[in-house]
Amino acid sequence: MSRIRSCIVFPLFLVLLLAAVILSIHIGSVSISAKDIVDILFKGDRSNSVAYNIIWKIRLPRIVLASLLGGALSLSGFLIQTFFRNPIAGPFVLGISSGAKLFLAITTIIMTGLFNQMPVSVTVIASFVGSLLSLLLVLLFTGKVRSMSILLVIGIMISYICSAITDLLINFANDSDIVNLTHWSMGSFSAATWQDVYISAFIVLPTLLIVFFASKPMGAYLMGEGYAKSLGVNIRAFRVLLVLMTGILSSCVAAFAGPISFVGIAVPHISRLLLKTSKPILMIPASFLCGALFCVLCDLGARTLFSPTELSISTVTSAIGAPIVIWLLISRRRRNED
Amino acid sequence: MKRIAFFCFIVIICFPVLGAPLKDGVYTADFSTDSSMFHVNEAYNGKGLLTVKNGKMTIHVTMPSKQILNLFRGKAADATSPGAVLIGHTVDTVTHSDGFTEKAHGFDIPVPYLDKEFDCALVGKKGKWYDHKVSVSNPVPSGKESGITADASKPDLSFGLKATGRMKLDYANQFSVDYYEGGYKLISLADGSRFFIVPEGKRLPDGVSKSAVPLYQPIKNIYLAATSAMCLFDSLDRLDAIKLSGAKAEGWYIPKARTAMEEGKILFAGKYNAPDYELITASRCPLAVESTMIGHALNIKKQLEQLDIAVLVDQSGHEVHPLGRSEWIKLYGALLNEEEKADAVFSEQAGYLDSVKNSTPSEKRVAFFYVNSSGKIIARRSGDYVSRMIALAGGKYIFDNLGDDSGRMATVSLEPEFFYSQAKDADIIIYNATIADEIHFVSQMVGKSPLLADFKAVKTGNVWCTNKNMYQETTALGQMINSLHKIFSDSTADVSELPFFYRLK
Repeated sequence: MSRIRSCIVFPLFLVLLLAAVILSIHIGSVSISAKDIVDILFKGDRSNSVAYNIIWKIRLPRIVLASLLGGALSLSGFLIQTFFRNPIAGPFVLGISSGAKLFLAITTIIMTGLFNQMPVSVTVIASFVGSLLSLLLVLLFTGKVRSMSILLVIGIMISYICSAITDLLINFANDSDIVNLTHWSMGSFSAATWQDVYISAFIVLPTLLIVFFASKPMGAYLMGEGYAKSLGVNIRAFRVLLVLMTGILSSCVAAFAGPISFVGIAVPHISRLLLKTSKPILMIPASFLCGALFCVLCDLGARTLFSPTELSISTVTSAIGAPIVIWLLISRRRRNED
Repeated sequence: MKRIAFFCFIVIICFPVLGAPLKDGVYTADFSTDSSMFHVNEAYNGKGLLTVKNGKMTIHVTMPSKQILNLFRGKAADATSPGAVLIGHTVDTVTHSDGFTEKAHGFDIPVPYLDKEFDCALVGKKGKWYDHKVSVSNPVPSGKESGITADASKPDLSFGLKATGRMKLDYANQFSVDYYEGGYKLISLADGSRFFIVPEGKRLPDGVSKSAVPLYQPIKNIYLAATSAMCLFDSLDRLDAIKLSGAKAEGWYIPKARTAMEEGKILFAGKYNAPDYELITASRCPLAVESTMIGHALNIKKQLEQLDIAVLVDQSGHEVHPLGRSEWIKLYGALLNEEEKADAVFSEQAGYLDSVKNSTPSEKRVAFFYVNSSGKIIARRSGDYVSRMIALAGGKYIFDNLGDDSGRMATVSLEPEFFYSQAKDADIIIYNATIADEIHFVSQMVGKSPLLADFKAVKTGNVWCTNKNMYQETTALGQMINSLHKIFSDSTADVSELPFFYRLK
């Protein structure tokens, strides 16, 4: 049954993702005909330079980045839910986004104070370094604390501490710094470039492969630590690997798109509900594909719903995703009752 | 002879139809519209107060609410064109038959003729203009019929004093200043707040505190949290009236204000949303001048008022005409008895605008935006004062469908491909460095968003940048328009710097 379901769900995800990508390439605030798009994409037609640049420099990098980071966020959500055995845990629960914001706030204040500048590249680097520093802190505790619930609480506390220090710093920041931090906190794929895509792909795809190859010990871990140990899984090393992979994926998202809410918590749920299994070997690719599909569609909504005003991606991910999850949960309960 | 007879015949026939001109005086009259959404407040039975002076008729009508912000005598399409004279609102106190009172917006509408429809467009908080037809009929001398009377829409604010005049305002419509014998003044703001200025050595007339907040001259030790007002005090040469600031020394781009703070003459007393109540109280501050941002922190306003500190909300940001903002210098002039100086400063700015008005508009297409540290493109809304300044200077703001800023943020995050398609062929780029990083080279701007390299203005070298002080220089908006006008004309090919703007290298 599970195999039949997988045979339906995976092709469905792929077809829907392809459709979402085609739709996103076609729809935008500037109307470009399907024929022109085909000519631009496959024949390299540059006769309409505006359309060419919109397709190649704005829409495509944005779509690819949204699918890569959407997949990464969803996958990191699945990993964290597996790790904590907690269905409402999200990838930013370890304080990743708060750490990113704190380090970004510090960097912004220093940069604008000294150079009157805060280049986009520095924003990306600062967010990434901040995320990794929080991750490092969590990893230090991971080796020392056995209880998952205590580690979860530690993650939340790290998040609070980072937020408190950020709020403290904001008191000394100038208005423009505060505006920039607020914009970053709302998340967006607006400034996506091919360079961002390459760097993200360099981080996300190898991580995805490593996680995929770890699906067998992960399945054993889900059956209980004792069972995993009996199969020869080094629990301590495995926990570190899981936290590290989660942290790297969510740090990459925070760096290139800011903290995107909901995707990491809900998309693994959607995948699980559709597949009706928690087996990592199925859930890892499913979460990634579903996250990519979800983010591409949400980004399309963010840039077109109130065009030319662009919404933050988190507004759309939460507004669309939450009702879907509620509907899936309720319909599953009804079916169980029947 | 036959022609004269025919003309007389036509006049005799048409006279009853067009209506005989009314004598100067005050009348109540029916005010009819073509919409159930646009009508007179129920308390006034569809009537307005028609004033005839030197043959010119104006009707004051009070609306049911504060939803309508401006009217325009004409079509909606013309209301947004440069130079369109909008009808600003007053804030009327309406008393219903059951004793219930409420605040509502009122308008003084010029009436071209009686008993015949004319165009009157309106704009609400959403910023969209709508066409309407209105008519005025059945004028009856005021007081002779149940309806409104001369003072029904406004409470008696004379406090037993003889009124001596009202401050002349050319562009501002968000405040008024009435003068009374003995040097008393009444400042009324569009949000309905009133401040009664008591001259030094005079006593407060009875009944004032019920309808206005008393302020005793000389007014000093002011807590200034509205950054846009600092330059107005500076232009009046009256920074000495300010003791406390809502911004730190490094936050000021007005040299004298920064120096005063560095010398300890003005103290930092916390931002508008986190004031140091103890310092403010200990400084014997009688007045806090806040920006409209205080509307998001009403508990702070209430706390200040509980400490007997009057809170004057600077609503210059709501002025439709850019020079309306500058004209607020007259309000602060009235507070500090510096009316003459205020008039002189404002006249100078109005002169800049007059000089621009007389020249032919260049119609250059202008993009005004910045790229934030996350790479997002942030532009001002189409109805914002910056876009109006661009229009007054003879340019054309390229983002013409970003809505009005009334009741919303003045800036908007733009979808990149919309930005690219709209701004690519702009003749001139003005990079807004007031909020964003300070830049000096085109390459720095392109580094923030590589797409900008394709832009016409970048290729032709027509990229300018604002100085950091642009938003704080409320006084000099006339001069700013003048600088924009120079940028839009071809006379600045070799110029690299103008007041408030510099060319990127």
